[in-house]
Formats: sequence, structure tokens, C-alpha cells
Amino acid sequence: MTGTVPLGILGRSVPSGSHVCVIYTGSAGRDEIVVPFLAEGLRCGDKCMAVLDSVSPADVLAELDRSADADAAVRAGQLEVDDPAHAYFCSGRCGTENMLAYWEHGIDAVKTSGTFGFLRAMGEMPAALDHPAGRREFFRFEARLNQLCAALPHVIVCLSDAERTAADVLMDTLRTHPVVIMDGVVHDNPYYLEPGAFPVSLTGGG
Amino acid sequence: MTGPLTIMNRPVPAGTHVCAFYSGAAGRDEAVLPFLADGIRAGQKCICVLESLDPAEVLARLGQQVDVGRSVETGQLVLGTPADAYLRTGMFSTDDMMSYWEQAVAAARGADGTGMLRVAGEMPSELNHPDGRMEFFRYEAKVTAFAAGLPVVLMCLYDLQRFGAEVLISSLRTHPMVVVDGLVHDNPYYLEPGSLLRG
Repeated sequence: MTGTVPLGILGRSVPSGSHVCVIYTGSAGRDEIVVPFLAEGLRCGDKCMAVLDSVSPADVLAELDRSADADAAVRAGQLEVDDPAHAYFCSGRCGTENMLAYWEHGIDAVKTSGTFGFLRAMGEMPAALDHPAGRREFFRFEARLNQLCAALPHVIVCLSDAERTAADVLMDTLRTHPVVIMDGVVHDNPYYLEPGAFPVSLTGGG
Repeated sequence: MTGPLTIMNRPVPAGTHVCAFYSGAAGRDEAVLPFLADGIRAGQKCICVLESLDPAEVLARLGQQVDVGRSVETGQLVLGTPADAYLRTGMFSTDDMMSYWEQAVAAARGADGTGMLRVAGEMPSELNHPDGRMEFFRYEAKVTAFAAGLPVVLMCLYDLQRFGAEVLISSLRTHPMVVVDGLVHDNPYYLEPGSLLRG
């Protein structure tokens, strides 16, 4: 599907199918992104899903409720905001398959049942995965999610907080996202590597 | 005689200010040693200011890639530590560094005015705190403007394992070109010095 998708942030739009990383600094920076992005999705009638670690889902829903009927959207199944513990780790184990299972029902709602015409997704690396093996798992999950979403109208925004991230992790984020927003500008990211070209740090050498 | 200016076989103009990102010592050597070796081969003056490797070891490793001959004795190759260069007055000062580089460029020009200067350096870890980083990156922003059009190419070395993301981001904002994953890139995240220094 072609066409552009309004992000609801910075007045920017990106092509449908974009997987965008937004680099920001601190909680104020995040607040300028999360709620406006989801609010735009509600306005557009998108299926909106967010798995967030750095802010509680309850706070996001409360803030969103000030500009849209977030409660109604949740009841209607249009809006899901969760933390990683509920979304990814509810079986007690983390791993790519668990994480994908959460997103698959949202993908089905757009692709198969046609309940919604567009999937608007937002996530960030869970703190529980912020170690070498966990990061590799998360980047593998992102690559699989991209594949799963490839055939449906969607946009994925990943959040990266410069205050909470190590430099090598941010560099891996730059290697895995073809579109990056930083300092208010949407960039085609030249440091993106096709999955087959990942360095050892991303593949674990195995 | 000066040779063409290249970084990893990509021709670059005089005045190029590039940062190299890598993880760990092997990555640092892959970035800095060929850069210096190219300069030695081309008869260019080379200044190398590293914190993570002492000058004797830099010379030994460089000597495996190129005949360093008498380049240290003649002053063609200057190997120092950040204490020698960035902190030689005891504290870091942008103005002080600017005059240091002006003198180095003038000296490298030589009697016939054609000499080229190559510089490779790491940020001193003493500056890796909020005030230090702010001052160091104000300096980095000025280096790009200073170098433009001068017979100098500067490579700043950032080991991703040694810093937080704010250093990576500040580097992206202050260097028009980036070396990472074996490639030399025009860097779209670069911000014009005027817009940075105002902030």
C-alpha cells in the first residue's frame, strides 16, 4: 500500500510501511511523542498498539483520554497499551515467539479480519532485555515483526531515549531502522544495514 | 609532496572533519591505523592523540602497516596523549585548542605552503561528564567551521563501548561525515554549527 501516514508528531508524515526510530532525550521528549502518535491513530481509525517500558500504560491512557475517548477505544479493541511484563512475558519466559504472539493478534485484526484498515504500532526495548543476549533477541524480534507486517498497511515507531541507552545499543538501533527521526527531522538513515549484513554485535556471531 | 586525501579509499576534500564509530580496540585500530598509514605514505604530517593506546604501541602497530622510518624523529608523525594536546594547560579550553590546531596546520604547510595535516584523536575521558561533554562538543562544532578549506583532515575516534548515547548523538550532530561498519558516509544528522552553538 502506498500513501503517507501522519505520525501526529512534529507535523511529520512517513510512507506507509515505514519502520521508524525516534531518538529523543528524557521523559519530556517522550511525552511529546507517545500520546500525540496514538491520538493521531485514534483519529484515523487505526488499530493502535503500544508496548512501553519507560511510562506506565495507565498514565498513557489517562493522558490520551484528555484528547480522545481512550476508554471507548480500549473497549472496542481499537487501542491496546501494555507494558512488557503483560505483553511479552506473561508466560514467564521472554523470547521472540512470545513477543511476536502479542503482535500477531493485532496484525490479524488488520490483515485477516479486516476490522481495522491500518496497524499503528509503537514499542521500545524492554529494560529486562537490556543486556547483550537480550538485545540480540529484541533485534531478532524486530526483524521478524517487520516481515510479519510487510504485507499490511502499517507504521511502526520505536522509541530510543538517549538518556537511558548505551552508545553501542543506540548504534545497533541505527543499524536496524531505515528511517530515523532526530532533532525534529525525518531522515533516510544511511547507517541502516540489511539483516544479512549485521555485524557480530547484532548476531552474536552465531 | 602531498598525495590525494582519502579515507578508506574514498576521496575527501581538504577540511574534512569525520568521526569514526566502532566497538572496542580492534575497531579503533581498523579506523585509525590505515588513516595514519595513508598519511605517512603520502608524506603528510600526522598528529595522533589517543587515550586508549600509548604512543609506543601506536608506533609499533603503525609500523606493521607502513614504513614509519624516521617520521617521529623528523616530526612528520606526532604521537601524543590527550593530556599532551587537549589538557596541556591543565584544563580543556576551546580557544586554546583552536590556536593549537592553527599552529599545527601552519607548521604542516611547510616552506612551500603545500603540506597537509592529518589529525586523529579521542575525546579525553576526563571530559565525560555533562559540563565536559558540553564544552567538548562546542569545540567539535567549531572544528568543522575552522577546518573548512584548510589543508587538514581530522578523524575523531569514538569507541561505542566507552560512552553513553549522548556522546554518540553529539558526535552525529557535529561531524559532517561518519565512518562506521567499514563505510564512509555523508552524515545527515549533522547540524550546522550556527544552529548548535546557539543552543
